[in-house]
Amino acid sequence: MRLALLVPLALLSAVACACATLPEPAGGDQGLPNAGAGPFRALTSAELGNNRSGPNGLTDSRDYARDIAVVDLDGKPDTFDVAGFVAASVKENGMDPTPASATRTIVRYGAVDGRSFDRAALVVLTSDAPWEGGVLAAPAVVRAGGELFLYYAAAGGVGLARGDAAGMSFTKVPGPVLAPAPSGWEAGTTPRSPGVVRLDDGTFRMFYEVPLASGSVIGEARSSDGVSWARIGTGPALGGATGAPGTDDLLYDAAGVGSPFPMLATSGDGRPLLRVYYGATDAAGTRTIGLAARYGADGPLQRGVAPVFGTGKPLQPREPCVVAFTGFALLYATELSSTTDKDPAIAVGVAPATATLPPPMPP
Amino acid sequence: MRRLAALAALTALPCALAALAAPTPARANEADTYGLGSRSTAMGSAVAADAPDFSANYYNPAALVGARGPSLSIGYVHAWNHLAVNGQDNHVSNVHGIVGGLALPGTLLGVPFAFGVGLYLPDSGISRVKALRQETPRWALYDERASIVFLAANLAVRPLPWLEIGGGVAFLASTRGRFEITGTADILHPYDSQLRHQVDADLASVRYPQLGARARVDGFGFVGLAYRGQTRIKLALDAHLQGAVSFSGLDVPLLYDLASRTVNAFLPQQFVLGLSFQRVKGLHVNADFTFVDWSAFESPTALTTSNLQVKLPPGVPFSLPPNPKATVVLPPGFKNRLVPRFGVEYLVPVAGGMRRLSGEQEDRRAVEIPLRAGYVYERSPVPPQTGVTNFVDGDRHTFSLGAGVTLNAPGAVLAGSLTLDLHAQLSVLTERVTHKDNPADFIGDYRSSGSMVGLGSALTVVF
Repeated sequence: MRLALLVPLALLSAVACACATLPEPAGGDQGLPNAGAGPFRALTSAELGNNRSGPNGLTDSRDYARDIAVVDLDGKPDTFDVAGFVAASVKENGMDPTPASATRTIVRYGAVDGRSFDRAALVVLTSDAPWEGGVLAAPAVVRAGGELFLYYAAAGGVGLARGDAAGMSFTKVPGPVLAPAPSGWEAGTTPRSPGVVRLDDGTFRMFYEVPLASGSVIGEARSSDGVSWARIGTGPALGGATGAPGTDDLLYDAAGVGSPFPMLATSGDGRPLLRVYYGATDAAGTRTIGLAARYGADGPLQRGVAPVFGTGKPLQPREPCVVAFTGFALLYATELSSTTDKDPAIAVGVAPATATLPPPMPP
Repeated sequence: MRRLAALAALTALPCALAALAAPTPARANEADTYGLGSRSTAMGSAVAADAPDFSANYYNPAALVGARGPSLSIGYVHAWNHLAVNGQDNHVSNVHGIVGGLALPGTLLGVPFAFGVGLYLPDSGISRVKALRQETPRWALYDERASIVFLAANLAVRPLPWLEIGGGVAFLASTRGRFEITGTADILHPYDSQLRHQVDADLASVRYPQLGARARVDGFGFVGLAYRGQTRIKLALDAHLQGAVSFSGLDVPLLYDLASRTVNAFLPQQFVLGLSFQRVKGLHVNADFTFVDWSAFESPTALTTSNLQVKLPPGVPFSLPPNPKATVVLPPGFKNRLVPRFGVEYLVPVAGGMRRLSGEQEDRRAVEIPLRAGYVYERSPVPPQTGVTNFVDGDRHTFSLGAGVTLNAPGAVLAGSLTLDLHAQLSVLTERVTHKDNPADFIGDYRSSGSMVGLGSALTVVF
């Protein structure tokens, strides 16, 4: 009988011991891999300084600055001093511009924390060449040795200005460096919204938007010096997704892709990547930011399974730019200031979404 | 002792029936990952033909009837996980808890009969369920599966002198919950809000069978067969929000429904063939071969659907986001695996005179030292994760060692034996390189590897 008492008593003691303990936090979620390519989380106001209101790191209600190109000034990913080049409208005939006015200048903003842009800007480029048609838009900037190459869209094609390493002053290269192709798949359309990257071998690669009647697509060109460009291939480098028949797969960019931004990256196992962020438009006209990429410098681009930015609110983001820092990457995109304010603003997002940013500067 | 056995037999049947019927919230399965019991774990869990103690409740219920006498075991196990991706430890939860059980052999209507209970009780919470997005990397086989209760109750008989048959049930708990809010929320004056909350959660049992057989082979030892059924934990969560948001005198009615379904802690069905060579006195050499039906593995991705309905008054400059699309869960495509296990035990008689033990035909030395070793190779069932999913895993080599001390008939109070067993276990997960097909993958390439270190002990009293 003593045994009969002993057994349940022992089991009861075991259960009591276990139940008296507190649960531990769940594990398994630290240090997980992430390509840092997206999706990007929109920044909050607490993550922005300079009295900026999240997620907008730059708003300009006077000249409606937009379409930002950001360059890390020292090229070191562990420091955050950047320069942002944006297209801006100007007062014409004594009239203030509107959000729909064409942009005619490129201005430079600085941000010591990589995201909270200055309140004052420096005009670095104005539209003064006949072929530009009074338009300077969608800048793209790339470091080339001790210079910055600033590409921009104009009425006659893609132009180039060469500047100092800090991007304080630029000198234009005469004429467009990429003009409309009179024949071929681009059907004589004017290339616009360029994005340029310098490859590891020192050559340049440009992706640009081609506004076809059926919807915009992305073309690709190469250059050995960044000045003389030759188109690659006999068709778009990236077109709108068609999806599998009978499904709605990958339809976030079915109606058009454009405003490409290329950048080099390395996979977690050391494979070289060429990523192209782009503005995506679905059949309903909703805009988001997409990502396509390839291993190495050449080959077909494969798109991501979902947009990387802009799915939370209907703010119609476009013209992406991404800068990689140590531990995180920041995405800059032009979108509506808010759901009720149609002015353009430069929104900033971070990937991975769990990243903790250093304190904003100035606070 | 015969009265005790008869008592055990009489109580066993109702207990087993109660276990089958009652919705007891008990779950599996530390045993599947780290082993159950110090002796069995030290022998690489190669004991389907050689588990004459409480661990038979997991490895082979038929072996319960081969127990030397009524026994009670209790112990503790702690496994430290060091699983890393790209060299960074992912801090997968350690597993630790109380292990124990009963083996009560006797006779019923002249037939040898036994009842047993096996238990693993984590001391860091009863259960955990995670609902993660499909692409989120996870150590699916080690993250949460082992941090839940294991309880099994089994019966065994020996209908023929050379044949033992057993079976029973183990349990999982399925969670269902509903969270409901109704009322009015005043945005400008939160304290004026009138909201009613209702939470309704339910733990319902899911049972799965265990069956086993063991045959004595003259001149060799034992051959065992065991079957463990498939099971999993399901988490079902429903949320319902209905009411109105009051904003500056403007009442906006809204309705929001959320449904989430998750499958977690999947335990595949397993068929085990075990061999135990016992021809040399004091020596047990065991080999188990387990077919694991991993192809039935169900994705732990949370299936979430939601529906937001808001009646915005005309002229309100606000647009609602569309309801998110329901997740399309990709089949995980795990592969079936044959897992070999090897174990050896040698009993060293070290001291004391010869003692007669209840249930033993031969006298034993007063003090004996069992020495044990084991090895297991588990090829990962997870296919190369080249697509969207990221089930992180690697081939697993497990080495184990164990030792103990047995005091046979230590005093007049105990005619059986008292044994303290210790074991150490090292698992090495070989490096696996994952290269993504899509260069635009949000997770990208990675390398995974890891190790696990387990220590445990058990105190067993055989009456």
